[in-house]
Amino acid sequence: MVNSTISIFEKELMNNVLFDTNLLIFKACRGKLKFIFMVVLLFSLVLKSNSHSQSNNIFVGANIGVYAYNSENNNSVTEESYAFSDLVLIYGANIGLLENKLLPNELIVELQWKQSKPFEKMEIETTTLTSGGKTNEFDLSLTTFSLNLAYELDLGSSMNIAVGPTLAMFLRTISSENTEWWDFEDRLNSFGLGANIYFYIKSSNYLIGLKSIYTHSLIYDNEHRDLSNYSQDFLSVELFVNYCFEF
Amino acid sequence: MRLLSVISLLILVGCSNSVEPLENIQTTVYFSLAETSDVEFYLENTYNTKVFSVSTKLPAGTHSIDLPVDDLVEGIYFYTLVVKGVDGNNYQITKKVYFRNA
Repeated sequence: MVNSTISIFEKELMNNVLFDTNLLIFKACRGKLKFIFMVVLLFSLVLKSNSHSQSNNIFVGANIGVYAYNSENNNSVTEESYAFSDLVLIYGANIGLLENKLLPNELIVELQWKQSKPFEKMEIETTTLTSGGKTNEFDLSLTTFSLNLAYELDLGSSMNIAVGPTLAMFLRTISSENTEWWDFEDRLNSFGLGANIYFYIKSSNYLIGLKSIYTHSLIYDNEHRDLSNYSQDFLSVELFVNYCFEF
Repeated sequence: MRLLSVISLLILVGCSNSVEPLENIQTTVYFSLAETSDVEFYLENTYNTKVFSVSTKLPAGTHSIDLPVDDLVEGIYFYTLVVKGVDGNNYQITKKVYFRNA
């Protein structure tokens, strides 16, 4: 039999250690960041040395998919909440450029937003000295903003295949709105790097295909939180449909 | 390289969320044992990190554990009590708890 009670007493605020912790994490990641940045730089320089004369396209569209791998599933406490225990649906939008003029093959430069929502809410029954037990529902969601660069490979297949690096920012949010007591939001921001692969077909006006993106978070805005046993790795598989504007 | 790092940190700070440290709060968990048992109690945040744990042998009766919430921030936590029974089996209970400033 377990019961919890809450009462009030005087206590000092804890010290703010945000900046020190971020610097330590950043130093630890500096080697990886340098390597990935050099790869992106070399990639860009090699591509800039070539050119051919096709038209460019701006594309706008939507994507829908799932996280084939989601590190939150290994997180014992979020798994216990059932919020991330199954495949999570993700959806979003993207805008980008299909560059054909400067390079021998196509280059995709894409800005993407995607959002995940769990199918089940986390329920917490709260008990205090001043009021009885009440149940609050919480959402656990992931929002991703990413920059995807992908260069088409010469494989001679009917479907185009492109690969490249991805830079991503994640917002991991636990929130509760419109409860009887209060609104609450616990959002962890992080910045990560990764790789992508596109399988796509380009018609005169449409860019349609499948893309898979792997990302690993390197820098966390931990804001006093203890993240010593926490990491983020995501592998998404998404279907996308874009409309192209030629210029 | 430095520019990339500065930009990423600026983005993170710009989108930062203000989760406040807990203040003026005391939380005590009470539990009862039917017989002398090995007990493990731990508190986890939603980032898979144990922020408090204690293991001890306790006699039969009612006991309490004061949680060190003054080292924590507002948010959702999970506390787990594991009791090793005389039959050799572990009995475990996990509860979600939401800490916030008044």
